[in-house]
Amino acid sequence: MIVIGIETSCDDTSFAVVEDGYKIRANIISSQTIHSKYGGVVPELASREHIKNISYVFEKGMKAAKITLKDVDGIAVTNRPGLIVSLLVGLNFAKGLAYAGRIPLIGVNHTLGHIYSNHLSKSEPEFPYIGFILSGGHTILCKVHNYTTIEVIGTTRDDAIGEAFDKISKFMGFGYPGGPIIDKLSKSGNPNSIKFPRPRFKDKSLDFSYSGLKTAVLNYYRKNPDTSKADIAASFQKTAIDILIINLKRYLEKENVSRLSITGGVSANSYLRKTMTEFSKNNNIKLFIPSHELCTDNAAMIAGLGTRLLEEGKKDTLKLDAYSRGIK
Amino acid sequence: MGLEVQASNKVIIGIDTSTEFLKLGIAKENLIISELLLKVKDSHTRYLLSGLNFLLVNNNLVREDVDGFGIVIGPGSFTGLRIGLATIMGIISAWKVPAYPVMSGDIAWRANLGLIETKHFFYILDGKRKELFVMHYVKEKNSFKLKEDIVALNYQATIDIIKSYYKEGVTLIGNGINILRESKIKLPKKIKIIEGNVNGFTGGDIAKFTFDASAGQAGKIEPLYVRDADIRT
Repeated sequence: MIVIGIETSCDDTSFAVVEDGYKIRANIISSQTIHSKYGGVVPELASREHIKNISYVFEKGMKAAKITLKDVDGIAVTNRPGLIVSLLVGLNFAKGLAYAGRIPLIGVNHTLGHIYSNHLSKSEPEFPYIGFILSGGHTILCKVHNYTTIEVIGTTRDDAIGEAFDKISKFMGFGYPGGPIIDKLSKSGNPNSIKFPRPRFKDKSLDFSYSGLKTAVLNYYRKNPDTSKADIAASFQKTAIDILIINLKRYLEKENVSRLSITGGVSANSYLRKTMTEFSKNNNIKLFIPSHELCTDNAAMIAGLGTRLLEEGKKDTLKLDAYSRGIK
Repeated sequence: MGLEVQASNKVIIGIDTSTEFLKLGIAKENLIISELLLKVKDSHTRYLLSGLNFLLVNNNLVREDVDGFGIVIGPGSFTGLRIGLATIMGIISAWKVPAYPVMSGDIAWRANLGLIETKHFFYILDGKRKELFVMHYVKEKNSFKLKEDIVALNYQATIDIIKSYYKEGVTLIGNGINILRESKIKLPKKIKIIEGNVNGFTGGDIAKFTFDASAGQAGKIEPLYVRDADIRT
């Protein structure tokens, strides 16, 4: 079964061709650099870039996969959650293709798509497992029951972890996207030089919060302009990752976990990978982190999950709409 | 006064999603054979393809019968435009037929040519944020030429620019007229207004005038971006 995927939920225009739910025959990602001067994604600009790029990534992907629309069994498209003006471009392109080619259409949840990235490689985790989805839009700890069912254990109450990296990077004048910049800078800094606060909730929730940390870092930077930027970056990064570890530890106190996955753009962070690898090793947990290309927003994960949904008999009508919210 | 429409024996589908109206139409050999108008309450994405399918099925047309699409690229609602344009991009990628980008004002003056007796024609549309999209055309023989760049102006600035030409004769079309009336800004008396609630043209008009308004040039279809202010950080 060949399913094509379209992903335009934020600032990457991506098109993919996936066979049988796991063989990636093409995965084209056109990343938008236009946002760097604004220090973050500008929705209107993102949408304009998607309109410019969508036909190009489609043609390039079809050519790379050496297929025509006659070979396609389904069209999977991200329709939630994300930036509405961006989602609408991919969604409507997909709908036009589906109508004209008389091909089934499947709306796919972006968050579940990230989880599905784990299943696009040969060493995929067995269900159930615990998953982190860490990106500019998400900070989710969840239990993954199957391809389409997750149980949210904790999610952010304010900023997402990737958003905190971006905002701090912008404020300190490093540029966008902040994740790779702070990661690189942190390598020359002391992560224990500054103690930033960790969030505490009055309830026993395993939710996350990065707004307080972000404010603390920005205030520290304002008050201590002579402090090494590398030390600030490294201390922030350590704290941001510690927040994840603290909640994971608390969850482990109650539940047995033998498999853990990390997906989303933040999983490319080297300190996170190192810390999570050590943590997993010390706790007899098998860790799964997809390749960098599959950690960031990509259409292969959408096509892969779309394949599973089609196999379950699910498909959408051409009235399918886009939604900015919706974890599940 | 007759307009010499560029000859075409092709079947063209006209589409406009730039306002709250979904306009679809079919023209064959420059004659409108069918059209559909729908006031969309929520989002064009829910209705565009079912409307298009309805039109094609009711006219016994299949993919092989369609020679191209004429699509309004603006000015207008960016969300609506993106829905229309992205959908057509998907269709033409599958059907391998051309799409012809047209501007709404260019269709509006052609559809109303017999009614516009003045030297100046202004097509004014709601631009939201207390602004109007203004397209100013000047008569040249049997047609109109866009005089200036399309601009987004506040209500008073729109009136001021119209007033500066009204001695030479001005005709207005578009939903911006009602917005000006509701804002209680007085329109000069000598201005001719072509009333109507579909902004001066139908889906059939788009299909009929696509070749002429696009000069027969199929190409990359992108929304017409009038103001940078739409980019909000």
